[in-house]
Amino acid sequence: MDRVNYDLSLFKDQDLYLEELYDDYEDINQAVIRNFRSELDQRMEEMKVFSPYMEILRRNRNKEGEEYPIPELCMAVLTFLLYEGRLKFKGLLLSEIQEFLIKTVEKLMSKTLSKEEGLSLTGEVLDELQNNGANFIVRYYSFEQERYREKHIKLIEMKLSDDDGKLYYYITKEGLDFYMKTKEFPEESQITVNLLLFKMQLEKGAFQYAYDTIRRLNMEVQRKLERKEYILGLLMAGGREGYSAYREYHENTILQFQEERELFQQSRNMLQDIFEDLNTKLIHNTITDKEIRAFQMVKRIEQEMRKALISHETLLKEAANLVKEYDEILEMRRRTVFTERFNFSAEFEKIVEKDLPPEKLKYLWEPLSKPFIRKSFNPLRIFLPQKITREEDLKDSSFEEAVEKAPVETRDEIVQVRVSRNFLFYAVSLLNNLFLKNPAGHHPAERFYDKRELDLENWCRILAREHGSEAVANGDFISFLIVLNRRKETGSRTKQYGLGSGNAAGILEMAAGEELKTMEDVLYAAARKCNIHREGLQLEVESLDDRDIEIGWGIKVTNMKFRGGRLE
Amino acid sequence: MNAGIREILDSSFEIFNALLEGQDVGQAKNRELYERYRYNPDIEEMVQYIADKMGMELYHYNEKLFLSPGTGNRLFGYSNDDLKRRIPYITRNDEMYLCYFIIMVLITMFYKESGIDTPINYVRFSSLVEEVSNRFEALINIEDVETLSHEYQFNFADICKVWTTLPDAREDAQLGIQQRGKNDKISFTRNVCYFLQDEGLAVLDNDRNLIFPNDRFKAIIYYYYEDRDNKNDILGFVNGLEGE
Repeated sequence: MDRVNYDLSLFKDQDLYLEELYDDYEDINQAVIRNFRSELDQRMEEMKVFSPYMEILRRNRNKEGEEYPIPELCMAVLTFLLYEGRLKFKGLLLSEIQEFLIKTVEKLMSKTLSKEEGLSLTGEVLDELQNNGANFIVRYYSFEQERYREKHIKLIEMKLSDDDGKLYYYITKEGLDFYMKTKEFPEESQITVNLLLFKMQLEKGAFQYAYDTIRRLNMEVQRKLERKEYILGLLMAGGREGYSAYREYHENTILQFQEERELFQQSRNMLQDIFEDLNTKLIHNTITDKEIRAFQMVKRIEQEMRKALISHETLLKEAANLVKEYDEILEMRRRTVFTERFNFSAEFEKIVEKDLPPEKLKYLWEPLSKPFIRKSFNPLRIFLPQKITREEDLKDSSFEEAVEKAPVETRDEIVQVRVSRNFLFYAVSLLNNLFLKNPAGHHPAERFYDKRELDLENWCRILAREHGSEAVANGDFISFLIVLNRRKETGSRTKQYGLGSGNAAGILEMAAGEELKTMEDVLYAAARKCNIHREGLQLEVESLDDRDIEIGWGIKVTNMKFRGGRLE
Repeated sequence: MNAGIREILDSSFEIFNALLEGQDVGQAKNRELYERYRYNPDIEEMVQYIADKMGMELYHYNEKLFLSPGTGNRLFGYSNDDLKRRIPYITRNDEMYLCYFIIMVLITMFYKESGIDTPINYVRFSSLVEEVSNRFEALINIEDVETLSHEYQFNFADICKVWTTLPDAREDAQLGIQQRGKNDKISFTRNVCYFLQDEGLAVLDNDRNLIFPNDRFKAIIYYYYEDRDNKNDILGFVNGLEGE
């Protein structure tokens, strides 16, 4: 192959960078190679944000019988997360994304999706955008570092809200970057450019264009805000990349802020003048139809302007903090001399493979747990037989006297009677709240509403309101709930009790102050008290396993639902 | 006592107590306390000092503070009995060790090794159940579990038995019933996930049936586990028990 000899001087005017760095090189090829090598990492950094979308496209376009254009819907969700989420300073719920996608499909594809279909499509789109939970990874060879490198990219992320405990979806810095790069120009000076453009558009009265510009400006400010977080991330991870990005941000980007700030101020004043001018015309009734439309647009611009200003002020504060945070990270990195990775997989496998006691696993994860504060009061003590007389405080002689006067009543018996009475009390309360009398009914069986429901949480509230909080915090209440839920069929969460049968003897015993033997007896006795001891009526208890409720003394009980009604 | 020091102590104990009670302290909740910590170096130093003296670690991550009891903390760490009471439905030791096993499987699904962030954004609930089964299957394949060491009261063969005897209960899952308990693999795993959720470590999103790590999880993985002293502590506890 013929070798091509380049005259270095030819390049001098075209590429000062090359000349500056490599004019010592005899062969321009070497200069190009060197240049390529040093720039590659940066180019890959710029390029990485496109990779996830290409992967989504490739994955979906090869699928047979594609029902929906998933990659395009991914772009729609990104747009939604940007405009309705980020630009409004909030995250979006799954249900909001679902609703948006249903509307998009309806509007653009003339298809009506049910809620379930919408949810399934939303899941599919979000899975694609999140690469089924794993980050998107771009692997490339860095000639500079002489090794393969991986770049991890996330287009969207989920965060748990501290306010309402719900999961919200956000577009990430990379998602935003990708979105902007597909249509907008990526230069750092975009805020300035857009502000100048915005000013011109205001001057010319092109308010629709000015509105579009201010919205774009808003996105640019957001992107700069994200840039800081990204740099902090790079710095935390260590390496030269972070330091270069920090230096670039510090030296170039921060310097632009002052210019931007002045331009913002000028644009704001100009907008204020236009607003006042139109407002005056409106007050004096000299405004034309065209100006009314312009006035409405100016109001919208003003709202966007306010958002952009707030974001820009935040940007200035954050940038000022960057120096402090940079120092903190440096300090932390200095500490990394004393750090090393903890290999969870290896340690876990070691314990299992060596068949060490399984309890050792706890040591591997327990630093993650919250500090546990032991209560000085043991709540389980309330299940123990309780002292209800002061016999122990009495003198021995009077104790003996009491023994002589009455047959021996053991403490267990006393407790059993108490428990029976309390169980009956709770059963009556429950049935009274489940079977409301219907005065319109003629036949006795019609006098009760069928299928009435009450959950434990609400019943606790009723008990506390009617009988005081002690009624809920009482140990017998917990015992009542436990016994009520006993003997469910394996795998079943419900248990039914008929109210038309019971142990008659038990009821008689109850009258004599004796215990009731079973929960069926208790409920039958309660049904009699409420006058609803009818064949066919039943009480159903269902445990709601996904929720615990606290019923006093720090004791948590699984919530449950009670249903009263006629047997089907 | 000097009024300035008293003020620092008051604030520091207020912050520390809030954290100890399990409250969030950060930009979103208890913001005033958080800002006192963040912007007053004396208070920050004092809270760190108190945590240190109480045998705990305090971390600042993503505009929130997190307290960790570390490993083997007799005062603020869970004992096995505490955990038996804390995790609903768990009454037997082998069941509790199965919980530990599931927790470790989940951790390793997010982090093969500690790092600043997990490369995995979420794990499907079904993948966790599958992974636990795979791990036990691998254990069975390595050797006959019955021949595993019986030196200790419980070994992994016992834990494996608890898991393999549980039915899958996939029918329920298909019907969308989200049970917790210990009667099948799905309920058991869900129960463990809810425990982790209560500990502020992970969120089980029932809409999409996926598990997603919380800031507390990420913060402690990065700060606690990457500290060489802490790592030695953990391994010390693991190895210390070997001879028992």
